[in-house]
Amino acid sequence: MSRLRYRISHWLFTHRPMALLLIAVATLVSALGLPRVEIKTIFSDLQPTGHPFAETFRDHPNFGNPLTIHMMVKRKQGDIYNTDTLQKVWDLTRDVDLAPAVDHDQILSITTSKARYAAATPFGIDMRPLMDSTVPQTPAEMEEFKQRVERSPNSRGFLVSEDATATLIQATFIEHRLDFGETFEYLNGLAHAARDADHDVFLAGEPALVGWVYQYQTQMIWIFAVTLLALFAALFLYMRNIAGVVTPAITGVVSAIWGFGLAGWLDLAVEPLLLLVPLLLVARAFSHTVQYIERFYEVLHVVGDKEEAGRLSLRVMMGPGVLGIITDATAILLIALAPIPAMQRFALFAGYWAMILLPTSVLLAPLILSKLPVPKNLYSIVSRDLSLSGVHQWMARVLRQVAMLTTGKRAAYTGFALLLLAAISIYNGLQIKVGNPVEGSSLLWQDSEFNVAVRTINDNFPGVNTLELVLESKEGETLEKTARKAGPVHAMLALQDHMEQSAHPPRATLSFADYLSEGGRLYNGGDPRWNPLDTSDWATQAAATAAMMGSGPKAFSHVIDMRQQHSTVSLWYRDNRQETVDAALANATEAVNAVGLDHEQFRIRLGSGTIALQQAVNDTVQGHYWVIVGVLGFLMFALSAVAFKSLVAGFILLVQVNMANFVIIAMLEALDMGLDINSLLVAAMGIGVGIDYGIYLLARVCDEYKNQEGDFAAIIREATTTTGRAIAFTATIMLIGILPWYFLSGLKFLADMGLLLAAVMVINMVMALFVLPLLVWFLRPQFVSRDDLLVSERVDLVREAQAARQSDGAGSPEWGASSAAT
Amino acid sequence: MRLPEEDRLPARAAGRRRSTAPAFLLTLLLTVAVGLQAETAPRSITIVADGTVHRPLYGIDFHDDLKRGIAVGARGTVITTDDGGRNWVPGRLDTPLSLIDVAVQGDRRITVGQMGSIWVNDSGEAWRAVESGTEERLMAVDMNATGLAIAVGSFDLILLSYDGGETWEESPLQLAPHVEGFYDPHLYDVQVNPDGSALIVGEFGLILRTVDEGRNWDIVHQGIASLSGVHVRTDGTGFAVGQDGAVLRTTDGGQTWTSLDTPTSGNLLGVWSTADGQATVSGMRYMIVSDDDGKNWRPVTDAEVNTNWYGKMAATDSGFIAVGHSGRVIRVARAEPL
Repeated sequence: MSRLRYRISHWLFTHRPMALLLIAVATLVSALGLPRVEIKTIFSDLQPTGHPFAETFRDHPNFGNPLTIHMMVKRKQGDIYNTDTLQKVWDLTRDVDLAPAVDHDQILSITTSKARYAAATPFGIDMRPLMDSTVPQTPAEMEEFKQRVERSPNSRGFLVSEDATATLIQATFIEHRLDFGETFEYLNGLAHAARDADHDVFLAGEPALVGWVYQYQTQMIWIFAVTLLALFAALFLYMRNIAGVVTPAITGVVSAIWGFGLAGWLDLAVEPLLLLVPLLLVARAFSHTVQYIERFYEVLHVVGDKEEAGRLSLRVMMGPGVLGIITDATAILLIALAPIPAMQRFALFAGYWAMILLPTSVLLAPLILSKLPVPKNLYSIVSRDLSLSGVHQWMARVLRQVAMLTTGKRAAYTGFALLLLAAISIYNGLQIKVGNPVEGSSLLWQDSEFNVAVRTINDNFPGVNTLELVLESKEGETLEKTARKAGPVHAMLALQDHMEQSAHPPRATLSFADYLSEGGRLYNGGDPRWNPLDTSDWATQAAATAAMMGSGPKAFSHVIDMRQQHSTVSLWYRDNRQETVDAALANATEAVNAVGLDHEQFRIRLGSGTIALQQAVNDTVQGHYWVIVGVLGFLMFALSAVAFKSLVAGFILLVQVNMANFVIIAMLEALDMGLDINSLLVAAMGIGVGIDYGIYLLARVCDEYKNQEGDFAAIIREATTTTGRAIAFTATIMLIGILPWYFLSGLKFLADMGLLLAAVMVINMVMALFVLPLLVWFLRPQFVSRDDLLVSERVDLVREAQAARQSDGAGSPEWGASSAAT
Repeated sequence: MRLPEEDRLPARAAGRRRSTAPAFLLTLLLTVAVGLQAETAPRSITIVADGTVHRPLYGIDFHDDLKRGIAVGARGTVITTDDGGRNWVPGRLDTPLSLIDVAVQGDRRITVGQMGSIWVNDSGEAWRAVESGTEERLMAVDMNATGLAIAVGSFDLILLSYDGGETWEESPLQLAPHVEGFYDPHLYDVQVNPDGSALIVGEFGLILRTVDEGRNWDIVHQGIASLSGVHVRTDGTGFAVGQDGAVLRTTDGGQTWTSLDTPTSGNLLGVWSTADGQATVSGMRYMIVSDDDGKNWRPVTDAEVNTNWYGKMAATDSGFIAVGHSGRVIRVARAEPL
């Protein structure tokens, strides 16, 4: 292995132009893919494959379609029964009908012909649209309209609030035509224009939520620019030389071009919310490069020749660098185990990006460093003289104190404290809730326009959150209209009744059976005693004929399909908090079991709608999070054990990383942030960060073994104050770069992720600097003394430098025979 | 059993053709007189029991003590009270079908409903289903102390029982020949009196009357609007109500009926009146009350009754009790002089 590392570093430096040309060509080819990069949300790809709820949604997208907007017009004083308000609703409805990607058959308001009323009269059924072809103008017309609304049980409560001060406009969008940004801009513009002294207009629904995320995209990019600037500023203040700043900048930019280039070439749409991951990957490139730079300066200080320093530091750093990057990339690629298409796509894109840090950070960085001027402050960076002033010596002094806490007598106390922390973290971490802890969306602040709209609509109407229990026909290949038959119709009623009787009843329920029940009543003269439907096919067919008189299945497309075979029971809930979702699904499971899942003509599928789809993602996150952590743990253990040729090494790294992970999860629990699809991604990346730190530090411990003559206290002190300093520095500059997210972002998501990432960086740094040295101190593992480790290379820098001067760098060193001088 | 040879259609038709001027003057005078005598407080509405949307209540009846009562509804719902309707105890029969009306007499109870279902019970015993011989919907049931029970339902169905509901026979009465268009009219309500006379109301303004325990029936009223509810007191005064705001009054035990003017064109479903002349009519989004035995009616203004429906009614010492949507029972306060 050492020979391989030597050969690679030797070839790279003897064929430098060729290597640079290859990297340049790859960068150019990647850059050609950049114009094709698309940053967009593909809603259906956010739903997990194979989950029964998500599959139900895919099979029956019309039922409880989340791609529906809810626009509420609220009269500030008085009720909606005035020409001014109704004209506004009329105009808005027609304007919504012109929105990009709207499904023109799925627009509903009190001014559309789908909103109908029916009344039994001595002369027959009076069935008409609520509103005629014009808005009521006279008091008599207004009174007549009001009476029609009162006679329309499916309009009052659902389209007009019980107190008659608000009305809803609903519109569903066609996903494959939907550009969330464009549609939202149009709809939000309508809402803004319609607000006046007498009216408020609120806009909610998934298209509005994604639209808001799109709106914040520009702000997000600005915040990321601030982060990058902060990173560079910190880097400059720390390094105070050109090479220390330019090298990470070049490796970061090249890796970004390669990463985004692949997304462009493969047409992988990048989810806007996950744009922070590329930023993190740039930061990871910085981190690896900084580790390299620190070591390069140390070597340069000894050998005095940039090229030789580059070649030697590459040999020394290649092992831990490669292992660190592979574990980083593995952590990200393992996210693909969660069967969510958007996540899998992203795992491929981000995993590839993480992997290309191998050529960019490991190979490119030494080539660049060897060509840049020698820093004037080289001595102050690498000097062990702690009496010197400057950030490097200050950090070294602090880290020397840290090292003292992990060695000698104090190690026992520190160990006890860490054990206590581990116990508390594991206990709290296992209590972590998966799911949404707030009403509305946790992506946006609670006082955001969207969340206020969700709360206000929930206050005035059954709400924007439904759970759909789908009755799927088994007669798909026939012309049978299953949804009109007695079996399914009475199953719908039984489900509704069961849910209404449950401990946590929905705020409202609706099914095709309700329309049939009403049709039966009207057909028989209007007495409510005709509402109950008899249990014969004849009775339900007759009621269906009455209910659909003068209209067609299109008018009922929210409860049945166009062939009148499949149907749904819609259940409205107050909010989508996790406890609401859990209770709703528990009750629905009971209801479905009571009614029976499988019937001769149909089967009941639980379920669809926003409640079920939210849970589908939660289930997938919960089910796969520990699988991903488990597989990742095993792979890290295996890779580390092979690289360090010791199971104990694998154990040390596993303990350090898992402890950091539990502390992070416990922090999420303490902050009531919950575990969701986004935190899954970041937590997995956090594990990659932690293992990086551990590998670099442990490799340094091995490197220092002979140098410090097996004195573990000295080994730990040296490793902590050198490699530990690079770890502390990268974690600190990331903290400086990320913390502004919390204060600048209009997206609560970004703020939360900023907080989480900051915690990931700091906690992993602390665990690396305390847990790993402590374990080394107590275990005193044998592998650190071995000369043949894949990640450690002891090079006699002085001898190498002399050999290089004599033979112009062509000689072969004596492997492992000399004492380490770094 | 046969129909009388002469139908008494003209009485109601003639009533409608009469000039309204004398009635208007009379109404005006009465209004002024009542206004001078005693103003009454608005009728307050109190929800005394609540249920769920898919378990509305359709029928209610009280024992003679006016304390013990029973109400029935969708999916076998049976709720009971022992305090005149102030508090209700939930219960349910083991049936997915709706129970649409209930009758109580002494210890005997009968409830009828969808698909010809009839259940009987003696106080303290479990309900048991009895054979009705029909699958038609039974809309109403009533009985007297002698064990005469009459249930009516869809398509001119009249069921008779002379043993308190244990066994039933279908009346051979055919109403279609007497209805324009030859339809079989649905029958919506029945009242059985202690003397064996009874009244039935239904579609096409039909009011049927028997004085011989259902063996022979007279058509005492016909019209256009369906009639949904009837209640006649022992003093012979009573009301029948139905579609299009129809309220008819009788003062002779149901032999003759007069159409009254009401402030609504809504669908009225239930009625009850008391000997002091107080009457309450429930309906679809309407409730009207009278304090003078139907001479004057005024609407009750309350969101609960103006946006929902209430059907069958009864009166106890706590007020008028109505059942309806969402398993609700409301108490309508009696009029008290201010």
